Amino acid sequence: MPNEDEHLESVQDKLKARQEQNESGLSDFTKARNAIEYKAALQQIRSLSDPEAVKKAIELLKNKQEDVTVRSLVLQKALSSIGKNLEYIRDCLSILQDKTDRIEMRKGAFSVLKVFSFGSKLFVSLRPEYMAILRSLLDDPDTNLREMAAEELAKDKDEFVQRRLLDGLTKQEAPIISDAKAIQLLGYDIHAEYYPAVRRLLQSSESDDVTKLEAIHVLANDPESKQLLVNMMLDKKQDKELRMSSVAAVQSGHPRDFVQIAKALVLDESESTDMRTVCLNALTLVHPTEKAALHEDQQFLEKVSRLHTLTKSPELKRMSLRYLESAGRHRKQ
Amino acid sequence: MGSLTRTIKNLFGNPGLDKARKIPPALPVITGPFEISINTLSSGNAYIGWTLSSCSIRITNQPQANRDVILKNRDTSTGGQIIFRSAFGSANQDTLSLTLPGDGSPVNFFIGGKFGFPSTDDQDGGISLTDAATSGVLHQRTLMVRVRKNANNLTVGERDRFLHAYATLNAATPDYQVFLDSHNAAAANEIHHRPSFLPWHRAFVLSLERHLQTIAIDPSVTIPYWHFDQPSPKIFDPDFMGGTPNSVGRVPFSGTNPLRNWTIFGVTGVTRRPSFNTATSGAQWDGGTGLVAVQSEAVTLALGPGWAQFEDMELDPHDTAHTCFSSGPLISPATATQDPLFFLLHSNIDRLWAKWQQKMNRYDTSNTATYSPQPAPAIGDFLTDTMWPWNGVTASPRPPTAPGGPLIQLAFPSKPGPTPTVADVIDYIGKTQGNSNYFDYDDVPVS
Repeated sequence: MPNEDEHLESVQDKLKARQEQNESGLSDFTKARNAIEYKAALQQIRSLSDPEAVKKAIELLKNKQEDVTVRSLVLQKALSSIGKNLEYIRDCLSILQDKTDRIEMRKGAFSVLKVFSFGSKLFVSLRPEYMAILRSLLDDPDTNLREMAAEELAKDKDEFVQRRLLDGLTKQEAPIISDAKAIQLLGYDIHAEYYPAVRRLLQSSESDDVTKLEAIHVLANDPESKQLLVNMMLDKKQDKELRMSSVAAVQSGHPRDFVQIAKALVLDESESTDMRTVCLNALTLVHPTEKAALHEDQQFLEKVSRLHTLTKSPELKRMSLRYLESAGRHRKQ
Repeated sequence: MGSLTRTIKNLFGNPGLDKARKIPPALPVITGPFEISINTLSSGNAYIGWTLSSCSIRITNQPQANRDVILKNRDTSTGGQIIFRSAFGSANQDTLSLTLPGDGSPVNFFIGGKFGFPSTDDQDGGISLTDAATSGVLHQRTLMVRVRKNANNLTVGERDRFLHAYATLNAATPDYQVFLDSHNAAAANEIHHRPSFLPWHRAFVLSLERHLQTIAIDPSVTIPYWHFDQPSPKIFDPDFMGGTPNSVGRVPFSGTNPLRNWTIFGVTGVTRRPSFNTATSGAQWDGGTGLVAVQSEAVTLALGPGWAQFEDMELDPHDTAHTCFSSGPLISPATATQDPLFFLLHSNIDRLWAKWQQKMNRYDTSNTATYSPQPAPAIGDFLTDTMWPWNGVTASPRPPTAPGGPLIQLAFPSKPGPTPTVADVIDYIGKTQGNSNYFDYDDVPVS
């Protein structure tokens, strides 16, 4: 096992080798004239920063006739330089919205633009342009691009995409993405006006379980969904994951009712260990307003203690112990 | 020999429960007529990291003859281990010989966690005071050597304690709301793409950690880090941050995972779709025709020689680590804190900075290679600027609201203060006495 000095020396040697490789790649890139040479050179380069080389690389990027791997490598290797130049970022925006360009390039451009949304000061000034392009992508022929664009817009609480998503759910227009994904994205800015449509989908026999699962997650705060969610939680014929997800939704949206329902379910020996475990889990995390009363229930504590001793389920044993420890810590405070 | 005080974890006087847990009785903590103060506190559970903590010890049944004693680790075979120093600048020792005045005057010394030997359980370490002549144990004080660890290497106990604390904070909605409102669209220009990016996020991670460590939650937890340039199958698992997502990016959690109950703005659950194979690969982002690895730790640590070069790590690996998912709140600055993985990602970003500081000896804030607000500083970038939101400032160009109030303070004098400055978080290990922020990383030494 090498000691620390040897390790440091080894790392420094590797970094020096990488730097030399980068310089060699840059030299090769400067001289390269065809796709094979560009690829070979770019693959050696870790990061393209020489201004003339970057300028040459951007011309390759913009050229739709150029080999797609070369163009993609430019995006990857010139990432930092692109992010510091307004025109180069604009070039990425152009690629993203160009329906005639290769889909890999458009997705690659989308990736780097998302990177810049975090860390490029220049990107801030282009944000309105970016959002306008994303709106135009909602009708793009590529499903992934539509979905990714819708997601970015939804996170921004864009009303245009919210309207399009809701219209898709209510079939007032052709949906741009699946119902499940639409519900999920509407959840970034949940409004009462979405609840009726989402509730209908949860109750519809035509909705698949993926859609119903998304509906459960966003309906926690809908007062009119409370009974629906409680029924789902208690219905032993329901899909296991839908039931288990309803537990979190009821706990979050209706904490006081949840405590009574969950306690009864935990102690119901005819109930599955999965449901009893998940309910105990949620009981350890009830809102502080409910905690005091819950932890004062000595009878329930003793029953959970007995459950811990007697159950053969490792998950239920572990969960009941955590519940007791949590209650004990709270009582000590 | 002092009197024996038996300490047993017994919640409700239920021996059946202890037997069920198959936990042997804890080693008895011996108490005698002595008082050991750690970071000015003479009672309560103590928590230290690698960075030095000032201590004192005194006889409490004065007057009596002076006493020659030796301080050592309570149990060298298990638990967190500590080193001793007679003075701040002296060498580390595994034991420390002292003479305690018979009049009860305190004797000062320092301890720190022994690098490479952190605790795995609360109070599993400690100080034993022994008689120099007879080696008899006179008094003990337990402690925890508490450091931030690689999330992929946590014990089940460490992982579950962290998850429970994290989910508890999330369930106390107004408290976690602070972390959503401090990293939203309105805050974007305050916290990203500027020199104070790293100091601000260091304070942000510390703020969450201190929320988790309050007595109401769990003082034994720290925020583990996602070593994102390495495969981390245990992190992307139903028992931790969520398993393989379904077709719309919904991550599954096991029945016992507290994150099952994760709720943001009334919406439950977590969505996140990695672009890479989490079981076999470090983080990779989609470069169009193929996946691109985030910048490795080795390359990041080689950035230099100074701050002007190192701060480029904001783009890669920070921005690229965020965007190595194709779906989910983590990939957008305005929604990133809605995903519990956010703080594990940023714990690693901070660890990389900490490791770079250690490698390059960058703690002296008068050195621009340590930190510089140039070339175009704005308010919030200068060393003496207090940081939003803890400073409560909402006048332009700061964001219009300042959620959460001052930074939670430790029970003893420490940095950063309630309204931290950029400078406060740079010498986080306390190279200069009094500067320590009292957090550490398992693989970043402090000397």
